[in-house]
Amino acid sequence: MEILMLLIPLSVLLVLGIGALFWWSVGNGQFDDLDGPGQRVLADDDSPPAGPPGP
Amino acid sequence: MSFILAPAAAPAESATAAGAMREPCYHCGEKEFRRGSWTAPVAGAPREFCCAGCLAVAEVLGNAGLIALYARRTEPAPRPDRDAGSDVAETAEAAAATGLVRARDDGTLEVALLIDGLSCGACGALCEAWLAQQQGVQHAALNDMSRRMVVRWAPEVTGLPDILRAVAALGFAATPYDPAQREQRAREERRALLKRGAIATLAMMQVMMFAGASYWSDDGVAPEQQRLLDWASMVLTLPVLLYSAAPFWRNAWRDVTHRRAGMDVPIVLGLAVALVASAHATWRGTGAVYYDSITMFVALVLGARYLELLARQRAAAAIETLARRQPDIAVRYCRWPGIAVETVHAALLARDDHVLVRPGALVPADGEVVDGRSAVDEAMLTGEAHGITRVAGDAVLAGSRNGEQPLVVRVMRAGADTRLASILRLTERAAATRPAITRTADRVATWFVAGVLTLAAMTAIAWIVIEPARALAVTVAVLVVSCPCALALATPAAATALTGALARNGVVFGRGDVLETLARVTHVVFDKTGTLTRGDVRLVSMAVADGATRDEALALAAALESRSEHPLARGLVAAADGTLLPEVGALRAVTGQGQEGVTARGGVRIGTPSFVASIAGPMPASLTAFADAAPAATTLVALGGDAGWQAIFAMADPLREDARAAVAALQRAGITTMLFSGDRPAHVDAVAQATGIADARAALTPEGKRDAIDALQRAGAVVAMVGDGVNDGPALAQAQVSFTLASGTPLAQWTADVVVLNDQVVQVATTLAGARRAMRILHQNFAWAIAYNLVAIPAAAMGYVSPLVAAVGMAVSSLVVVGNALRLTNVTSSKSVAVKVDHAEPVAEVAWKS
Repeated sequence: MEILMLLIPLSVLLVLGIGALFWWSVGNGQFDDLDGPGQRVLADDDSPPAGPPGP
Repeated sequence: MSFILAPAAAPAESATAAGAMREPCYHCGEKEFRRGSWTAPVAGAPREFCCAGCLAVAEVLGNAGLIALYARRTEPAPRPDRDAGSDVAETAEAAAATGLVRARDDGTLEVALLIDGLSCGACGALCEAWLAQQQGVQHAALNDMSRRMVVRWAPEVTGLPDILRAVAALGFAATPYDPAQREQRAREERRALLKRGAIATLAMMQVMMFAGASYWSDDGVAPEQQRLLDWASMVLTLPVLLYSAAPFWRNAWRDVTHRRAGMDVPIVLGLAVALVASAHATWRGTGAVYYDSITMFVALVLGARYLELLARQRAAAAIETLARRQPDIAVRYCRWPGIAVETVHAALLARDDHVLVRPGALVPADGEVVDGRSAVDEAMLTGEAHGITRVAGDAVLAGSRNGEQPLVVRVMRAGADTRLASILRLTERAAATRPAITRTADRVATWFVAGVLTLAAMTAIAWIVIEPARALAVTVAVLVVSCPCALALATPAAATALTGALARNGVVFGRGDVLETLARVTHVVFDKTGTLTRGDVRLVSMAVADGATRDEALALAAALESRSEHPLARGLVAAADGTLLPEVGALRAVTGQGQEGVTARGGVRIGTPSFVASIAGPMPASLTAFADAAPAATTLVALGGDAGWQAIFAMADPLREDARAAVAALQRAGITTMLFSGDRPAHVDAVAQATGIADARAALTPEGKRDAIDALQRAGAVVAMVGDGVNDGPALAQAQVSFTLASGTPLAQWTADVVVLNDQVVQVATTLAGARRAMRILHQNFAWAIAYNLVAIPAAAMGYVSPLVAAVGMAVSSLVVVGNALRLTNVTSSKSVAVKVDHAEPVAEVAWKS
C-alpha cells in the first residue's frame, strides 16, 4: 500500500486542479447562460448574430 | 441584553472614552488598526479610526454637537488611499444630473441607494436607524433583498454627499441606484457564490472520500497513512475555509464589531472551533478531526444561499424588464419643423421638444404624435399585446415600441416624470417597505442567535465538568446544528418570491407591508364602472331587419355617427372599426334624438326608436322582440330610413371578460364579494347578476360607500376595495387594502396598496390567493424551524449528535425552508382568462348571459 503515499497527494493536486479550472470557467462566463448556447446551436440561421454597435 | 448596538444610546458611555484618547486612532487611541478603513467626517474633515465601533461613537458625538472635544487637538492627516468618502461629491453631482435624485411635493429630495455589503436584516436595520438619525434625513427605508435604500432628506439641512458619507462611515458602499449597474452587480454576485459553492463542493467530495477510508475500513487505517489522509484533508479544507466561507467570516466580523448577533456568528464559531481542534489533532497525530463536517457544512449552506440568491434575482428581474424599457438615446429635432436632428440623452429632453421615433425604436418620453401614423406596442405598460395605431394628436408613452413607420412626437413629460418612471418609483417604494413579519423575523433571529451562543457556552462548561474529552465535539455540534435560517433567510425569500411572481402577472404593490392584511381579507368590494365593467360604452348585441346584413348596418350606423362625440356614437364607430364606411351626405344632428343623413337609397336616421319610426314606419316584429328582450342595463339605438328599418343596436358598458371568473375565484376561496356603485339600480343589478355577486348596492355616494365599508369593518370584516380611484377615493382609503386597475386612471391617483397594471380584475383573486399561500408557507417554515431547533439543540447539547450529523442537519433544514419559500415563485393565475377583445363581434352573448 506504499502507493497510497503517492496517490493521496496526487488526488489532492487533482482536486485543486479541477477547482482552479472550474473557478476560471465561472469567471469566464461559462455558467451565466445555461440555455442560450444550446438553443443557438439549434437555430437554423448560421450567420453570426449582430455584435454590439461599434464605437 | 441587547445585541444590537443602538446608536442613540451610545453618547453617554463614549464621552468618557473620547476624553481618554491620545493615540493614533482618532477616537479611541488604538495603535494597531484592524483591517479595513474606517473614516468619517468630524469637524469638517474625514477622520480615521481603528474600528467601526469607534467610528460610530465618534459620529454620534458629532451629531450630538460634541465635536469640540476633537477640535482642541491637531488631528493626523487621513490616509488618502483609504478615504472611503472621497468621491461622494462627484457621485452626488452625477446622481442629481441624471435625475436619480427626485424632488418631492413637500420640498424634500429622494434617492434610491444601492447598498453594497449588506448581508443580513440586522445590518440593514442598523443602517436604517443610522441614516434616520442623520440631521435632515426624514426617511430611510431599506429593502434588504435588493439592497436598495430609499432616503428622503431636506435639502436645506443636508445633502446627498453627507448621506453617502454617512453610509460609507458604517463600512458599506452606497451608490445612487442605476439599473444597468445593478445587473452587472447581480451577475458578479451570482458568479462569486457559484465559485465559492463549487470549490466547497469539490473539496467536500474529496474530503468525504478520505474520511470514508477510516469510516468503512474493517481493521482501521495504518497510522502513517491516516496521518497522510488527515494532512490531505486539511490541505483541501483550508481553501474552503479561507475562500468559500469568506462571506461568513466577513459578516460575522461585522456583526461582532457592531456588537450584534447575526446568524453567521454561530456558524463561524463552530467552524473556527472545529478547525482549531482538527489542526491540533493533525499536528499531534492523535485525536478526532472534523474536516468532513466543515467542508460539508460550508458546501450545503452555500447551496442554500445560492438558491435564495437565484430567487431574489428572478424576482428583481420582473421589475428590471420594466427598467430596461427606459431608453437612453433620443433623436431630437434641432428646430422643428426643420429636419436637422441631433442625438441626445433621453434625460436631457424637455417639454415641447420634438423627437423622431424611428421604426422599431422605443419612445423616449411621454408625448403627443404630431406627424406620422404607426402601430405602437404598449404591451409593457398596459398588457395590451398588439400594436395600437397612433396618428397625429394621439398620446404615446415612454417605453412603448414603435412599429413600422417613423413618428414625430412632441414631448409632454420626460425623464423622471414619465409614466414608466412613475411605475418604477412605485415598485421601488413598495420594495422599500418591508412586510412586518420579516421585521419580526429579524428581531427574533437576533435573540435566537444570542440564545444559542449562551447555550453553547453553558454546554461547554457542563461537558468540561462531566467528560472533558467530548466537550469540544458537543459544543461544535450545538453551534452547528442550530438553524436560524427559517427566520433570517426564508422569510424575506418568501416575500420576494411572491412579489416577483405577482409582478410577472402585472400586479405591483404600492406598499410592501400589505402582505399580512391581504392574507386576512374576508370581503372584497367592487366598484362597477371601470372595474367590473370596461368603463366605456360598447355594442353588446344587435338585430337586423329582413333584407339587411350585419356588416352593412354597422357600417351605415358608423358612417352616420362618425361626426358625433356622444358616447353611444363612439361605441358604434368603434364597433365598425376596419370596415369600409358608405358615403352619407347631409349629416345633421337632432338634439336628444340622433343623427340623420342621406344615402343613395334615401334619407336614413339613427337614434331613438321613435326618431327612426317617424320616417321608417312602425318597427318590424323581429326587431320588437329583440328590443323587448334586451336587458334593462342596455340602451337601444335604432337604425332605419325611407327604405325601411335596418337594425337595432343594444349598447352597454360591457363587463370585463374576466369579471365573472374573478368573482367566482374569490367565492371559491370563501371570500364574500360585494358590489357598491353610484349607478342606477337596474344597471347595478344586471352587473351583479351577470357576475354572480349576491350583495349589490346601488346609488351610493362616495361617502355612502365609505360608510358601508365602515359598517362591515365594525362587524369584524377585513375589507379589500377594488376601484378605479377616481370617485371612490374615500372607500379605497377606508378599506384595509385597496386595489386599482391602472387603465384610464391618472397616475397621481395611484394611491392604492395594490395596482393591477394589466387591468385583469381576476388578478385580485390571484393576489389574495398568493398572499394566503405566502403566509401559509411562512407559518410552515416557522413551525418547522421551531420543531427542528427544539429537537436538535437539546439533543446536541446532551451529546447525541456528532458534528458531522449536526452539519448535515442544519444544512438540510436550511434547504427545506428556502425550498419551501421558493414554491411561491410559481404563483400564477391558474384561472386567468385569456383577454381577447374583438370589437366587431357582439360580446353580449359572452357578457350578459347569466
